[in-house]
Amino acid sequence: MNTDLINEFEKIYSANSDAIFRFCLIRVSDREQALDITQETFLRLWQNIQEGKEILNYRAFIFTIARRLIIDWYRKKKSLSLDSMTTDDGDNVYDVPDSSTTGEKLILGTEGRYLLDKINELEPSYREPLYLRFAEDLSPPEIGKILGISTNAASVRINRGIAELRKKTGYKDEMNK
Amino acid sequence: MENKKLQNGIKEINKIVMTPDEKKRVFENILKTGTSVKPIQSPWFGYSFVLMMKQTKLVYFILVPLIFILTGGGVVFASQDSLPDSILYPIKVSVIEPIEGALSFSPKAKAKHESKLASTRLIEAETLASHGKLDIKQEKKINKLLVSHTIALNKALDNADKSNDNKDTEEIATNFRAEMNAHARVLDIITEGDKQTENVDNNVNVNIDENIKISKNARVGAEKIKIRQDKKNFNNVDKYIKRKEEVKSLINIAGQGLEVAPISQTKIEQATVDGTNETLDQAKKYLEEADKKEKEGNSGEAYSSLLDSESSVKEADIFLKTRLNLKEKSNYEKDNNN
Repeated sequence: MNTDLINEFEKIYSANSDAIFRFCLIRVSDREQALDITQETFLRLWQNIQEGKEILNYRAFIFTIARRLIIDWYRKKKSLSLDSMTTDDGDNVYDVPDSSTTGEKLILGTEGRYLLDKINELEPSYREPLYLRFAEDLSPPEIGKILGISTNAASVRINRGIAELRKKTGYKDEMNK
Repeated sequence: MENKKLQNGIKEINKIVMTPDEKKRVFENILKTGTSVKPIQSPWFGYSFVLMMKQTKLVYFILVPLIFILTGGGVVFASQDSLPDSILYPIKVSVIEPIEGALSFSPKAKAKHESKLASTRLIEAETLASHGKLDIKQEKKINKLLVSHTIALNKALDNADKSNDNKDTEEIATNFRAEMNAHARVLDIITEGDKQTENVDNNVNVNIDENIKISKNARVGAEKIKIRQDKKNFNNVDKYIKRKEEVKSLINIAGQGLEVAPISQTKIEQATVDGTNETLDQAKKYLEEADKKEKEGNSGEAYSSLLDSESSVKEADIFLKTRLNLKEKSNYEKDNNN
Protein backbone atom coordinates (compact mmCIF):
# COMPACT_ATOMS: atom_id res chain seq x y z
CA MET A 1 0.00 0.00 0.00
CA ASN A 2 1.24 3.49 -0.82
CA THR A 3 2.60 5.04 2.38
CA ASP A 4 2.31 8.60 1.09
CA LEU A 5 -1.38 8.10 0.43
CA ILE A 6 -1.91 6.62 3.87
CA ASN A 7 -0.12 9.54 5.46
CA GLU A 8 -2.16 12.02 3.49
CA PHE A 9 -5.38 10.21 4.42
CA GLU A 10 -4.40 9.95 8.08
CA LYS A 11 -3.80 13.68 8.16
CA ILE A 12 -7.26 14.41 6.78
CA TYR A 13 -8.82 11.81 9.07
CA SER A 14 -7.21 13.25 12.19
CA ALA A 15 -8.27 16.76 11.33
CA ASN A 16 -11.88 16.02 10.40
CA SER A 17 -13.05 12.75 11.95
CA ASP A 18 -14.40 14.40 15.11
CA ALA A 19 -16.30 17.02 13.13
CA ILE A 20 -17.87 14.38 10.90
CA PHE A 21 -18.69 12.14 13.84
CA ARG A 22 -20.29 15.09 15.67
CA PHE A 23 -22.25 16.08 12.56
CA CYS A 24 -23.52 12.51 12.28
CA LEU A 25 -24.24 11.97 15.97
CA ILE A 26 -26.30 15.13 16.26
CA ARG A 27 -28.36 14.02 13.27
CA VAL A 28 -28.87 10.32 13.99
CA SER A 29 -28.81 10.32 17.82
CA ASP A 30 -27.10 6.95 17.91
CA ARG A 31 -23.43 6.70 18.70
CA GLU A 32 -22.80 3.37 16.93
CA GLN A 33 -24.75 4.51 13.92
CA ALA A 34 -22.81 7.78 13.88
CA LEU A 35 -19.56 5.80 14.02
CA ASP A 36 -20.74 3.64 11.13
CA ILE A 37 -21.60 6.63 8.99
CA THR A 38 -18.31 8.30 9.88
CA GLN A 39 -16.43 5.17 8.89
CA GLU A 40 -18.35 4.90 5.62
CA THR A 41 -17.68 8.58 4.88
CA PHE A 42 -13.94 8.25 5.30
CA LEU A 43 -13.92 4.91 3.50
CA ARG A 44 -15.30 6.62 0.41
CA LEU A 45 -12.77 9.38 0.74
CA TRP A 46 -10.00 6.75 1.04
CA GLN A 47 -11.23 4.95 -2.07
CA ASN A 48 -11.29 8.20 -4.00
CA ILE A 49 -7.77 9.01 -2.91
CA GLN A 50 -6.60 5.52 -3.94
CA GLU A 51 -8.20 5.87 -7.34
CA GLY A 52 -6.27 9.10 -7.78
CA LYS A 53 -9.34 11.28 -8.10
CA GLU A 54 -8.72 14.97 -7.64
CA ILE A 55 -10.49 16.42 -4.61
CA LEU A 56 -10.25 20.20 -4.34
CA ASN A 57 -11.76 20.64 -0.90
CA TYR A 58 -11.58 17.64 1.41
CA ARG A 59 -13.74 19.17 4.14
CA ALA A 60 -16.56 20.02 1.77
CA PHE A 61 -16.22 16.57 0.16
CA ILE A 62 -16.50 14.54 3.35
CA PHE A 63 -19.31 16.68 4.77
CA THR A 64 -21.21 16.20 1.52
CA ILE A 65 -20.75 12.42 1.71
CA ALA A 66 -21.71 12.33 5.38
CA ARG A 67 -24.83 14.39 4.72
CA ARG A 68 -25.94 12.06 1.91
CA LEU A 69 -25.27 8.98 4.00
CA ILE A 70 -27.39 10.42 6.79
CA ILE A 71 -30.21 11.08 4.32
CA ASP A 72 -29.89 7.48 3.12
CA TRP A 73 -30.00 6.25 6.67
CA TYR A 74 -33.19 8.21 7.31
CA ARG A 75 -34.71 6.83 4.13
CA LYS A 76 -34.00 3.32 5.28
CA LYS A 77 -35.29 4.04 8.72
CA LYS A 78 -38.41 5.67 7.24
CA SER A 79 -38.93 7.64 10.38
CA LEU A 80 -39.24 10.72 8.23
CA SER A 81 -40.87 11.22 4.89
CA LEU A 82 -38.58 11.50 1.92
CA ASP A 83 -39.93 14.92 1.04
CA SER A 84 -39.11 16.40 4.37
CA MET A 85 -35.45 15.47 3.93
CA THR A 86 -34.83 16.41 0.35
CA THR A 87 -36.87 19.54 -0.26
CA ASP A 88 -35.00 22.73 -1.02
CA ASP A 89 -35.86 24.21 2.30
CA GLY A 90 -33.98 21.27 3.84
CA ASP A 91 -36.21 20.08 6.61
CA ASN A 92 -33.28 18.61 8.49
CA VAL A 93 -33.65 17.48 12.01
CA TYR A 94 -31.03 18.12 14.65
CA ASP A 95 -31.41 15.81 17.57
CA VAL A 96 -29.59 16.23 20.78
CA PRO A 97 -28.39 12.74 21.64
CA ASP A 98 -30.29 11.39 24.53
CA SER A 99 -28.14 9.31 26.82
CA SER A 100 -31.19 7.53 28.19
CA THR A 101 -32.08 6.09 24.78
CA THR A 102 -28.60 5.61 23.39
CA GLY A 103 -27.25 4.23 26.59
CA GLU A 104 -24.20 6.43 26.53
CA LYS A 105 -22.83 9.22 28.60
CA LEU A 106 -22.68 12.27 26.34
CA ILE A 107 -20.48 15.11 27.38
CA LEU A 108 -22.82 17.98 26.57
CA GLY A 109 -23.43 20.84 28.95
CA THR A 110 -26.54 22.91 29.31
CA GLU A 111 -25.36 25.68 27.04
CA GLY A 112 -24.47 23.30 24.27
CA ARG A 113 -27.76 21.48 24.60
CA TYR A 114 -29.62 24.81 24.68
CA LEU A 115 -27.86 26.05 21.56
CA LEU A 116 -28.69 22.86 19.65
CA ASP A 117 -32.30 23.04 20.81
CA LYS A 118 -32.57 26.60 19.54
CA ILE A 119 -30.93 25.72 16.21
CA ASN A 120 -33.44 22.90 15.89
CA GLU A 121 -36.25 25.35 16.37
CA LEU A 122 -35.11 27.41 13.38
CA GLU A 123 -36.63 27.21 9.94
CA PRO A 124 -35.39 23.99 8.27
CA SER A 125 -33.39 25.82 5.60
CA TYR A 126 -31.36 27.72 8.23
CA ARG A 127 -30.49 24.81 10.52
CA GLU A 128 -27.72 23.16 8.55
CA PRO A 129 -25.97 26.31 7.29
CA LEU A 130 -25.94 27.76 10.77
CA TYR A 131 -24.70 24.59 12.42
CA LEU A 132 -21.92 24.15 9.85
CA ARG A 133 -20.94 27.81 10.19
CA PHE A 134 -20.79 28.01 13.97
CA ALA A 135 -20.12 24.49 15.18
CA GLU A 136 -17.79 23.36 12.41
CA ASP A 137 -16.45 26.70 11.31
CA LEU A 138 -17.01 26.07 7.63
CA SER A 139 -16.90 28.96 5.15
CA PRO A 140 -19.99 29.97 3.09
CA PRO A 141 -18.44 28.57 -0.14
CA GLU A 142 -17.87 25.21 1.62
CA ILE A 143 -21.41 25.22 3.02
CA GLY A 144 -22.72 26.05 -0.45
CA LYS A 145 -20.92 23.03 -1.91
CA ILE A 146 -22.14 20.69 0.83
CA LEU A 147 -25.75 21.77 0.50
CA GLY A 148 -25.63 22.03 -3.27
CA ILE A 149 -26.46 25.73 -3.32
CA SER A 150 -24.54 28.85 -4.36
CA THR A 151 -22.15 30.66 -2.00
CA ASN A 152 -24.47 33.64 -2.05
CA ALA A 153 -27.49 31.53 -1.09
CA ALA A 154 -25.45 29.92 1.70
CA SER A 155 -24.46 33.39 3.04
CA VAL A 156 -28.06 34.58 2.92
CA ARG A 157 -29.27 31.53 4.83
CA ILE A 158 -26.55 31.93 7.45
CA ASN A 159 -27.39 35.61 8.01
CA ARG A 160 -31.10 35.02 8.20
CA GLY A 161 -30.50 32.09 10.50
CA ILE A 162 -28.37 34.26 12.78
CA ALA A 163 -31.11 36.85 12.92
CA GLU A 164 -33.66 34.20 13.89
CA LEU A 165 -31.34 32.61 16.43
CA ARG A 166 -30.76 36.03 18.04
CA LYS A 167 -34.44 36.41 18.54
CA LYS A 168 -34.78 32.95 20.03
CA THR A 169 -31.69 33.00 22.26
CA GLY A 170 -31.16 36.65 23.01
CA TYR A 171 -27.51 36.33 21.87
CA LYS A 172 -26.97 39.73 20.40
CA ASP A 173 -23.34 40.73 20.21
CA GLU A 174 -20.79 39.65 17.67
CA MET A 175 -22.72 36.75 16.23
CA ASN A 176 -21.71 37.84 12.75
CA LYS A 177 -18.21 36.45 12.86
CA MET B 1 -22.16 37.98 28.17
CA GLU B 2 -24.61 36.51 25.68
CA ASN B 3 -21.76 36.08 23.22
CA LYS B 4 -19.85 34.20 25.83
CA LYS B 5 -22.82 31.88 26.24
CA LEU B 6 -22.78 31.26 22.51
CA GLN B 7 -19.07 30.52 22.61
CA ASN B 8 -19.58 28.18 25.52
CA GLY B 9 -22.41 26.45 23.70
CA ILE B 10 -20.22 25.95 20.65
CA LYS B 11 -17.37 24.72 22.82
CA GLU B 12 -19.67 22.22 24.48
CA ILE B 13 -20.96 21.00 21.14
CA ASN B 14 -17.36 20.62 19.96
CA LYS B 15 -16.68 18.38 22.90
CA ILE B 16 -18.71 15.69 21.17
CA VAL B 17 -15.84 13.64 19.78
CA MET B 18 -14.85 10.05 19.21
CA THR B 19 -12.85 8.31 21.86
CA PRO B 20 -9.24 7.48 20.94
CA ASP B 21 -10.22 3.81 20.72
CA GLU B 22 -13.12 4.53 18.41
CA LYS B 23 -10.93 6.71 16.28
CA LYS B 24 -8.28 4.05 15.99
CA ARG B 25 -10.80 1.29 15.29
CA VAL B 26 -12.55 3.26 12.55
CA PHE B 27 -9.24 4.19 10.93
CA GLU B 28 -8.02 0.60 10.94
CA ASN B 29 -11.32 -0.63 9.55
CA ILE B 30 -11.08 1.83 6.69
CA LEU B 31 -7.56 0.79 5.76
CA LYS B 32 -8.46 -2.87 6.09
CA THR B 33 -11.56 -2.81 3.91
CA GLY B 34 -10.75 0.20 1.75
CA THR B 35 -9.06 -1.72 -1.05
CA SER B 36 -11.32 -4.74 -1.10
CA VAL B 37 -14.68 -2.97 -1.09
CA LYS B 38 -16.01 -2.67 -4.59
CA PRO B 39 -19.35 -1.41 -5.78
CA ILE B 40 -21.87 -4.25 -5.90
CA GLN B 41 -22.37 -5.21 -9.52
CA SER B 42 -25.92 -5.36 -10.75
CA PRO B 43 -27.10 -8.91 -11.49
CA TRP B 44 -28.46 -7.52 -14.77
CA PHE B 45 -25.04 -6.16 -15.77
CA GLY B 46 -24.43 -8.94 -18.29
CA TYR B 47 -27.71 -8.18 -20.00
CA SER B 48 -27.19 -4.45 -20.31
CA PHE B 49 -25.73 -3.71 -23.71
CA VAL B 50 -25.58 0.02 -23.09
CA LEU B 51 -23.68 -0.48 -19.86
CA MET B 52 -21.31 -2.93 -21.47
CA MET B 53 -20.65 -0.52 -24.31
CA LYS B 54 -19.92 2.18 -21.77
CA GLN B 55 -17.56 -0.11 -19.91
CA THR B 56 -15.51 -1.35 -22.82
CA LYS B 57 -15.06 -0.59 -26.47
CA LEU B 58 -14.41 -4.27 -27.07
CA VAL B 59 -18.16 -4.61 -27.44
CA TYR B 60 -17.99 -2.57 -30.65
CA PHE B 61 -15.49 -5.02 -32.07
CA ILE B 62 -17.83 -7.88 -31.28
CA LEU B 63 -21.12 -6.18 -32.05
CA VAL B 64 -20.28 -4.80 -35.48
CA PRO B 65 -19.02 -8.09 -36.97
CA LEU B 66 -21.96 -9.84 -35.31
CA ILE B 67 -24.41 -7.52 -37.07
CA PHE B 68 -22.62 -8.20 -40.35
CA ILE B 69 -22.69 -11.93 -39.77
CA LEU B 70 -26.37 -11.97 -38.81
CA THR B 71 -27.39 -9.71 -41.69
CA GLY B 72 -25.16 -11.61 -44.10
CA GLY B 73 -26.44 -14.89 -42.70
CA GLY B 74 -30.00 -13.79 -43.38
CA VAL B 75 -29.15 -12.87 -46.97
CA VAL B 76 -27.29 -16.15 -47.46
CA PHE B 77 -30.22 -18.11 -46.06
CA ALA B 78 -32.72 -16.21 -48.19
CA SER B 79 -30.64 -16.69 -51.33
CA GLN B 80 -30.49 -20.48 -51.00
CA ASP B 81 -33.83 -21.03 -52.71
CA SER B 82 -33.54 -18.10 -55.10
CA LEU B 83 -34.18 -18.49 -58.81
CA PRO B 84 -32.28 -16.84 -61.67
CA ASP B 85 -34.81 -14.00 -61.80
CA SER B 86 -34.16 -13.10 -58.15
CA ILE B 87 -31.76 -10.37 -57.04
CA LEU B 88 -30.27 -12.81 -54.53
CA TYR B 89 -29.38 -15.34 -57.23
CA PRO B 90 -25.91 -13.86 -57.92
CA ILE B 91 -25.09 -14.33 -54.22
CA LYS B 92 -26.11 -17.96 -54.46
CA VAL B 93 -24.12 -18.80 -57.60
CA SER B 94 -21.17 -16.45 -57.11
CA VAL B 95 -20.62 -16.67 -53.36
CA ILE B 96 -22.31 -19.59 -51.62
CA GLU B 97 -21.83 -22.32 -54.19
CA PRO B 98 -18.15 -21.50 -54.87
CA ILE B 99 -17.54 -21.51 -51.10
CA GLU B 100 -19.21 -24.92 -50.83
CA GLY B 101 -17.06 -26.06 -53.76
CA ALA B 102 -13.93 -24.77 -52.08
CA LEU B 103 -14.83 -26.85 -49.04
CA SER B 104 -14.97 -30.01 -51.17
CA PHE B 105 -11.35 -31.03 -50.91
CA SER B 106 -11.12 -34.33 -52.77
CA PRO B 107 -11.62 -34.48 -56.57
CA LYS B 108 -14.44 -36.97 -56.00
CA ALA B 109 -16.27 -34.62 -53.61
CA LYS B 110 -15.74 -31.79 -56.09
CA ALA B 111 -17.21 -33.93 -58.90
CA LYS B 112 -20.26 -34.72 -56.75
CA HIS B 113 -20.67 -31.05 -55.95
CA GLU B 114 -20.52 -29.98 -59.60
CA SER B 115 -22.94 -32.73 -60.61
CA LYS B 116 -25.38 -31.57 -57.95
CA LEU B 117 -25.07 -27.95 -59.10
CA ALA B 118 -25.77 -28.92 -62.70
CA SER B 119 -28.96 -30.73 -61.59
CA THR B 120 -29.94 -27.71 -59.52
CA ARG B 121 -29.61 -25.47 -62.60
CA LEU B 122 -31.99 -27.71 -64.50
CA ILE B 123 -34.49 -27.81 -61.64
CA GLU B 124 -34.34 -23.99 -61.53
CA ALA B 125 -35.03 -23.90 -65.24
CA GLU B 126 -37.99 -26.29 -64.76
CA THR B 127 -39.41 -24.10 -61.99
CA LEU B 128 -39.06 -20.94 -64.07
CA ALA B 129 -40.55 -22.68 -67.12
CA SER B 130 -43.53 -23.98 -65.12
CA HIS B 131 -44.25 -20.37 -64.09
CA GLY B 132 -43.72 -19.11 -67.65
CA LYS B 133 -40.73 -17.05 -66.61
CA LEU B 134 -38.01 -18.83 -68.57
CA ASP B 135 -37.10 -16.11 -71.07
CA ILE B 136 -33.99 -15.91 -73.24
CA LYS B 137 -32.10 -13.92 -70.64
CA GLN B 138 -32.65 -16.51 -67.90
CA GLU B 139 -31.97 -19.34 -70.34
CA LYS B 140 -28.60 -17.85 -71.26
CA LYS B 141 -27.75 -17.37 -67.63
CA ILE B 142 -28.56 -21.00 -66.76
CA ASN B 143 -26.81 -22.32 -69.88
CA LYS B 144 -23.64 -20.48 -69.00
CA LEU B 145 -23.63 -21.96 -65.52
CA LEU B 146 -24.49 -25.43 -66.81
CA VAL B 147 -21.53 -25.32 -69.19
CA SER B 148 -19.17 -24.32 -66.40
CA HIS B 149 -20.48 -27.08 -64.09
CA THR B 150 -20.06 -29.72 -66.81
CA ILE B 151 -16.51 -28.60 -67.54
CA ALA B 152 -15.70 -28.56 -63.82
CA LEU B 153 -17.18 -32.04 -63.41
CA ASN B 154 -15.07 -33.40 -66.23
CA LYS B 155 -11.97 -31.86 -64.74
CA ALA B 156 -12.77 -33.23 -61.29
CA LEU B 157 -13.33 -36.74 -62.71
CA ASP B 158 -10.00 -36.53 -64.52
CA ASN B 159 -8.29 -35.48 -61.30
CA ALA B 160 -9.97 -38.31 -59.43
CA ASP B 161 -8.67 -40.82 -62.01
CA LYS B 162 -5.17 -39.36 -61.77
CA SER B 163 -5.14 -39.57 -57.99
CA ASN B 164 -6.55 -43.13 -58.07
CA ASP B 165 -9.49 -41.87 -56.00
CA ASN B 166 -11.93 -43.32 -58.55
CA LYS B 167 -13.90 -45.82 -56.51
CA ASP B 168 -17.31 -44.17 -57.03
CA THR B 169 -16.56 -41.93 -59.99
CA GLU B 170 -18.50 -44.20 -62.35
CA GLU B 171 -21.55 -43.84 -60.19
CA ILE B 172 -21.15 -40.06 -60.10
CA ALA B 173 -20.85 -40.05 -63.89
CA THR B 174 -23.90 -42.29 -64.49
CA ASN B 175 -25.94 -40.28 -61.99
CA PHE B 176 -24.99 -37.08 -63.81
CA ARG B 177 -25.99 -38.56 -67.17
CA ALA B 178 -29.30 -39.74 -65.73
CA GLU B 179 -30.04 -36.39 -64.09
CA MET B 180 -29.18 -34.41 -67.19
CA ASN B 181 -31.21 -36.57 -69.55
CA ALA B 182 -34.20 -36.84 -67.23
CA HIS B 183 -34.42 -33.12 -66.46
CA ALA B 184 -33.83 -32.25 -70.10
CA ARG B 185 -36.89 -34.31 -71.01
CA VAL B 186 -38.96 -32.77 -68.22
CA LEU B 187 -37.94 -29.33 -69.36
CA ASP B 188 -38.92 -30.16 -72.90
CA ILE B 189 -42.31 -31.41 -71.75
CA ILE B 190 -42.94 -28.31 -69.64
CA THR B 191 -41.91 -25.91 -72.36
CA GLU B 192 -43.98 -28.01 -74.79
CA GLY B 193 -41.03 -28.24 -77.02
CA ASP B 194 -40.10 -30.95 -79.27
CA LYS B 195 -40.52 -34.17 -77.34
CA GLN B 196 -38.37 -36.05 -79.70
CA THR B 197 -34.99 -36.42 -78.17
CA GLU B 198 -32.43 -35.04 -80.47
CA ASN B 199 -29.59 -37.22 -81.52
CA VAL B 200 -26.46 -35.80 -80.18
CA ASP B 201 -23.29 -36.06 -82.11
CA ASN B 202 -21.10 -38.67 -80.54
CA ASN B 203 -18.01 -36.71 -81.41
CA VAL B 204 -15.59 -36.40 -78.50
CA ASN B 205 -14.84 -32.78 -79.31
CA VAL B 206 -18.46 -31.77 -79.00
CA ASN B 207 -18.84 -28.11 -78.04
CA ILE B 208 -21.46 -26.86 -75.63
CA ASP B 209 -23.08 -23.68 -76.83
CA GLU B 210 -24.41 -21.10 -74.40
CA ASN B 211 -27.03 -19.94 -76.83
CA ILE B 212 -28.77 -23.24 -77.53
CA LYS B 213 -31.68 -24.68 -75.47
CA ILE B 214 -30.93 -25.71 -71.89
CA SER B 215 -32.29 -29.23 -72.46
CA LYS B 216 -29.99 -29.72 -75.42
CA ASN B 217 -27.04 -28.44 -73.47
CA ALA B 218 -27.87 -30.85 -70.65
CA ARG B 219 -27.91 -33.78 -73.09
CA VAL B 220 -24.65 -32.64 -74.62
CA GLY B 221 -23.14 -32.58 -71.14
CA ALA B 222 -24.45 -36.08 -70.40
CA GLU B 223 -23.07 -37.35 -73.70
CA LYS B 224 -19.71 -35.85 -73.00
CA ILE B 225 -19.53 -37.78 -69.75
CA LYS B 226 -20.68 -40.97 -71.54
CA ILE B 227 -17.88 -40.64 -74.10
CA ARG B 228 -15.46 -40.18 -71.26
CA GLN B 229 -16.72 -43.39 -69.62
CA ASP B 230 -16.58 -45.36 -72.91
CA LYS B 231 -12.95 -44.43 -73.41
CA LYS B 232 -11.90 -46.09 -70.19
CA ASN B 233 -10.48 -49.61 -70.46
CA PHE B 234 -12.32 -52.30 -68.52
CA ASN B 235 -11.36 -55.90 -67.89
CA ASN B 236 -12.69 -56.75 -64.44
CA VAL B 237 -15.24 -59.57 -64.80
CA ASP B 238 -16.22 -59.71 -61.11
CA LYS B 239 -16.98 -56.03 -61.08
CA TYR B 240 -19.09 -56.44 -64.23
CA ILE B 241 -21.18 -59.24 -62.68
CA LYS B 242 -21.73 -57.34 -59.47
CA ARG B 243 -22.79 -54.21 -61.30
CA LYS B 244 -25.05 -56.14 -63.61
CA GLU B 245 -26.99 -57.50 -60.63
CA GLU B 246 -27.33 -54.01 -59.24
CA VAL B 247 -28.69 -52.71 -62.55
CA LYS B 248 -31.18 -55.57 -62.77
CA SER B 249 -32.37 -54.77 -59.29
CA LEU B 250 -32.75 -51.09 -60.20
CA ILE B 251 -34.79 -52.03 -63.29
CA ASN B 252 -37.13 -54.16 -61.18
CA ILE B 253 -37.62 -51.41 -58.59
CA ALA B 254 -38.32 -48.81 -61.28
CA GLY B 255 -40.83 -51.17 -62.94
CA GLN B 256 -42.65 -51.72 -59.66
CA GLY B 257 -42.72 -47.98 -59.01
CA LEU B 258 -44.31 -47.43 -62.38
CA GLU B 259 -47.01 -50.02 -61.67
CA VAL B 260 -48.10 -48.40 -58.42
CA ALA B 261 -47.91 -44.84 -59.73
CA PRO B 262 -51.21 -42.88 -59.72
CA ILE B 263 -53.26 -42.61 -62.89
CA SER B 264 -52.25 -39.72 -65.13
CA GLN B 265 -54.72 -36.89 -65.30
CA THR B 266 -52.97 -34.29 -67.39
CA LYS B 267 -51.11 -34.27 -70.66
CA ILE B 268 -47.83 -33.53 -68.93
CA GLU B 269 -48.28 -36.41 -66.50
CA GLN B 270 -49.08 -38.80 -69.34
CA ALA B 271 -46.01 -37.60 -71.25
CA THR B 272 -43.88 -38.28 -68.20
CA VAL B 273 -45.24 -41.79 -67.79
CA ASP B 274 -44.62 -42.51 -71.45
CA GLY B 275 -41.10 -41.15 -71.07
CA THR B 276 -40.49 -43.37 -68.05
CA ASN B 277 -41.67 -46.47 -69.88
CA GLU B 278 -39.60 -45.58 -72.90
CA THR B 279 -36.46 -45.04 -70.83
CA LEU B 280 -37.01 -48.20 -68.85
CA ASP B 281 -37.31 -50.18 -72.10
CA GLN B 282 -34.11 -48.54 -73.24
CA ALA B 283 -32.38 -49.64 -70.02
CA LYS B 284 -33.50 -53.23 -70.59
CA LYS B 285 -32.30 -53.08 -74.16
CA TYR B 286 -28.86 -51.83 -73.06
CA LEU B 287 -28.70 -54.65 -70.52
CA GLU B 288 -29.42 -57.23 -73.19
CA GLU B 289 -26.72 -55.66 -75.36
CA ALA B 290 -24.29 -55.86 -72.49
CA ASP B 291 -25.05 -59.56 -72.01
CA LYS B 292 -24.56 -60.21 -75.69
CA LYS B 293 -21.22 -58.38 -75.84
CA GLU B 294 -20.06 -60.08 -72.68
CA LYS B 295 -20.78 -63.50 -74.22
CA GLU B 296 -18.80 -62.40 -77.29
CA GLY B 297 -15.90 -61.73 -74.98
CA ASN B 298 -15.94 -58.01 -75.50
CA SER B 299 -15.92 -57.05 -71.85
CA GLY B 300 -15.05 -53.39 -72.44
CA GLU B 301 -18.06 -52.74 -74.64
CA ALA B 302 -20.25 -54.90 -72.41
CA TYR B 303 -19.40 -52.77 -69.41
CA SER B 304 -20.06 -49.62 -71.41
CA SER B 305 -23.55 -50.90 -72.32
CA LEU B 306 -24.12 -51.83 -68.70
CA LEU B 307 -23.35 -48.24 -67.67
CA ASP B 308 -25.76 -47.01 -70.36
CA SER B 309 -28.40 -49.29 -68.89
CA GLU B 310 -27.71 -48.03 -65.37
CA SER B 311 -27.90 -44.44 -66.52
CA SER B 312 -31.19 -45.13 -68.33
CA VAL B 313 -32.85 -46.84 -65.38
CA LYS B 314 -31.83 -43.98 -63.10
CA GLU B 315 -33.15 -41.56 -65.68
CA ALA B 316 -36.47 -43.44 -65.65
CA ASP B 317 -36.59 -43.22 -61.86
CA ILE B 318 -35.96 -39.46 -61.88
CA PHE B 319 -38.55 -39.07 -64.57
CA LEU B 320 -41.13 -40.95 -62.55
CA LYS B 321 -40.41 -38.92 -59.43
CA THR B 322 -40.76 -35.74 -61.42
CA ARG B 323 -44.13 -36.96 -62.62
CA LEU B 324 -45.26 -37.55 -59.05
CA ASN B 325 -44.01 -34.12 -58.05
CA LEU B 326 -45.91 -32.55 -60.91
CA LYS B 327 -49.05 -34.41 -59.85
CA GLU B 328 -48.72 -33.24 -56.25
CA LYS B 329 -48.11 -29.71 -57.45
CA SER B 330 -51.12 -29.75 -59.72
CA ASN B 331 -53.33 -31.09 -56.87
CA TYR B 332 -52.04 -28.35 -54.60
CA GLU B 333 -52.81 -25.69 -57.19
CA LYS B 334 -56.26 -27.16 -57.69
CA ASP B 335 -56.93 -27.04 -53.95
CA ASN B 336 -55.77 -23.46 -53.82
CA ASN B 337 -57.99 -22.45 -56.71
CA ASN B 338 -61.00 -24.09 -55.04
